[in-house]
Amino acid sequence: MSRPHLWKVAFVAALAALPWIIAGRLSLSIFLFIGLSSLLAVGLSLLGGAAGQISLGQAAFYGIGAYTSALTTLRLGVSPWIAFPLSGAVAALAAFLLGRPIFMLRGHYLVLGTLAFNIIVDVLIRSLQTLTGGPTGLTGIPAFRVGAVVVAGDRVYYFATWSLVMLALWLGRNLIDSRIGRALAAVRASEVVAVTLGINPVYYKARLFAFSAALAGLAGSLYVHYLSFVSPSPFAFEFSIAVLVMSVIGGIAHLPGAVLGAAIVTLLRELLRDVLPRFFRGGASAEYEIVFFGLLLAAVVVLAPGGAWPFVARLLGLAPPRPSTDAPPTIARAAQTAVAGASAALDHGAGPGNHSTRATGVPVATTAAPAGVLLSINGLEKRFGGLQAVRRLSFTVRAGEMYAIIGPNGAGKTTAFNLISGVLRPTDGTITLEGQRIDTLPAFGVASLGVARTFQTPRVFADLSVLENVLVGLHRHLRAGFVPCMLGLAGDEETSATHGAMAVLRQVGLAHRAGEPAGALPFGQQRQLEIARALATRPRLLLLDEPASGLSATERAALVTLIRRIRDRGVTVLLVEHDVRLVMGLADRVLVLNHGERIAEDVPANVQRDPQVVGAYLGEERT
Amino acid sequence: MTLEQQIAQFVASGLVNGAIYALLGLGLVVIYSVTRVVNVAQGEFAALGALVAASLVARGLPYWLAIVIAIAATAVTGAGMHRFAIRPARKATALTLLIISIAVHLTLRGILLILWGTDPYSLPPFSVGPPLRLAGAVLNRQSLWVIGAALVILAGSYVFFTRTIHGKALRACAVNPTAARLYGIDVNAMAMQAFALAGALGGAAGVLITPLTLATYDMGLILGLKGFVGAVVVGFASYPWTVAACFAFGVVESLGAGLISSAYRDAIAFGVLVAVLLWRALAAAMEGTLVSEEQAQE
Repeated sequence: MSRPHLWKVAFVAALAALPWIIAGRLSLSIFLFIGLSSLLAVGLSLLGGAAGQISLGQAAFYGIGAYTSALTTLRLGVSPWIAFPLSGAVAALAAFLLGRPIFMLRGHYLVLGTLAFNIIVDVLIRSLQTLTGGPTGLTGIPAFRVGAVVVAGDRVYYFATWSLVMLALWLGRNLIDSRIGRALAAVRASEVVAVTLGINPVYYKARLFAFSAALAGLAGSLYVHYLSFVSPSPFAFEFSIAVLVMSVIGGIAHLPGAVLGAAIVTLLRELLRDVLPRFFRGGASAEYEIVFFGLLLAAVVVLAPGGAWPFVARLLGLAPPRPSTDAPPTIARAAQTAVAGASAALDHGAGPGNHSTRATGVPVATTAAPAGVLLSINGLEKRFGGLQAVRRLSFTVRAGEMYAIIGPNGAGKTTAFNLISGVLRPTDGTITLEGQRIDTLPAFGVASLGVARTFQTPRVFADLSVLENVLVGLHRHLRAGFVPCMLGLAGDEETSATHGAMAVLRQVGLAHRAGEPAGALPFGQQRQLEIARALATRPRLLLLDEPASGLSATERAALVTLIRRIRDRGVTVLLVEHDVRLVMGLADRVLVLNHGERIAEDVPANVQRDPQVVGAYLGEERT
Repeated sequence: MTLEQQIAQFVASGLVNGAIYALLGLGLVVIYSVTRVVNVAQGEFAALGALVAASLVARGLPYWLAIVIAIAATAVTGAGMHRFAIRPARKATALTLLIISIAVHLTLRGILLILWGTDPYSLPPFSVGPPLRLAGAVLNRQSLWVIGAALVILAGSYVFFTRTIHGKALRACAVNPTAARLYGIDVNAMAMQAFALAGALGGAAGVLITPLTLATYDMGLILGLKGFVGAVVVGFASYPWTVAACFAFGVVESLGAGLISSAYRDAIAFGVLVAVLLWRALAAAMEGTLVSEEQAQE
């Protein structure tokens, strides 16, 4: 057995034996509360580590779960066995309805929204006296029953709570290791790039937030059935802050850290309750906890931003703990097999086996009629304040064509790319892909129609491995949903995706560096990786933004070969490039932009002779 | 009282609160626009200013001097927050900066608790005299002081940001820090000044409101959060519109609490915050952009 597994078994064994170890000396309830807090903190760490967002509403969802259970069992006579899952569901639904729109705003509005939400929930619980019993709360909440046996006592709830904690850790770990965890890591690294690969960040963040709230809701339900009464005080937003302190102290990027943090904070709190009253004048010692936790939080953020878990992990001799962004072992293993079984799948652009052919949602494009218009730009305009970046731009790109846009710096080439890929909204004009308007779609919608792009300065996900970068490109062809990913049921799909990704890496000649972090690649290879990532989306239209800039002569030659091959496979290529010689050798047609306006469009030979073009480039007087 | 009179009264007290929120909201937006920090500790500046002023007045210092010292103290605290908490982590992610601001909020609140305890402190009104009647509403003199002083401070800020080279440099940092640095503006110094200014604005808010409500160590969070409402309405983008939104929010909150139930005052206030967030999200969804132009250009 490996060392991490040994520690896991030891930890679970210690937890299981704890009630008998401490029997007669310590109250078990404190360890039960650590478990309940752990559920809240694991939810928050999952949200923080994977989605890069924090919520100050965990206490509110805890309260929603608690009161859902209390009210349905007391007032409606519902069985606790039904009330329990219902509590999680209600909390999750509330979080989803709150989070889904707020995530549309990006930024850190979730903190404000959840803080406000927590205060609202607190006020409502205290004020809706006829329903909730107000500040005094509700008593006589029924316990779980099996037949005629009442489930009660510290031990049963202790085991139930900690089983749930273990389950939450397992589900969270699976999610982080899945395509969804990878997609969220990509969003954290660069939201712009992630959306151009077809990832909808809001979709996953909202579900993750709902899951974290569900954990809190379930904890709340266990809490009230354990105590058999409920009052508003544990659900005030101060407890949300305490949960944040737990997550941060434990290390918000590490799920086990959440449990560690919950233990540290809960035990310290007990200790302070004994110690503080001796130092401070009467009554307010609970208030002084805030001071302590504020200082503790500040100290951790400044001195050890990674939290306590990395230290503990080192102490236990575990490999330096993987932050949630690192390659999961399953993928590394799959990568090895993929390399070993390198097949001739290369020229088909897809991995071996039926699986990846099936996963090829969009065919590798030879089917499109060669003469058909793929992309049509009509009267496109983009203004940034007073600057007109693109002016009345119209052109069409035929399916299978290699179409180049050239022009001096500031001509509006990159802006045109941003408009086509949906990263920017045009001020006016339309963009259609095979007759479908795409200028109104969000960037991930454009990507899902088969438009992929690269960036002027390569923007690889530096902390992800080379292979994972390509896997993010494959994301939109993978099907495993949120629940299968959490249950770890997506292994087959991951394996075949890894094969597919390796095949793409071989095409660009990067297969040998699959396991390295993308940020460690030299510049030229980062460009290749970006192309590989775009190819992995299996595009119909590939937008290459100055793919040759910064490359050596050898690298350029390789790039030309690669672009030709891509195009020969039927992918339509739209190229922005400064290297005029390269463009003239590659493109079927060339569009010349200057000051956001089209000044010429023709086959390369004619464009080179166009006096306006020569004028724009060399500043010669027009005749 | 007739309903009209009641409404006039609610509107008047809403404007008084709105003036306080505007001072806090402006501070929040100044900090955010220059440093991209969501300053959860903004309300603590108000609590600090209020408590310092109350203590100094209680010790017999002239009222005006106590106010000057209190506002200076909050400005220094703001600058200190930047120097010792934000600046060391300025390369950190937005998430870390946010957690730091929460930590500062808790720490400041804790320091206030240790120094002042849980008792409420009071300040005398700035001037004494019978309340004034205005369009059916009865306003005590302090309320007028709050609105008047806030308007003077906000107008002063407006002149500062639009007419002085210093204010323009601050705005330049907000619009484009890189370009500002290339023009020789010390972005770090500007960030510290933004914090100092926000601290002073918060301190002024605390001093102004205390004669009406008393000051406690924990008054900051709710006040600061309410300042956020105006800032969120305009997406932390525009100084004057933040101020306008804060006044409007004060009135809505006061009307809501007055006409529905004052027990739900905070629920109504933060319900407005959530509603504003949802409304802005809906607008963003209609527009369809998931990526800001700023990000696209990076």
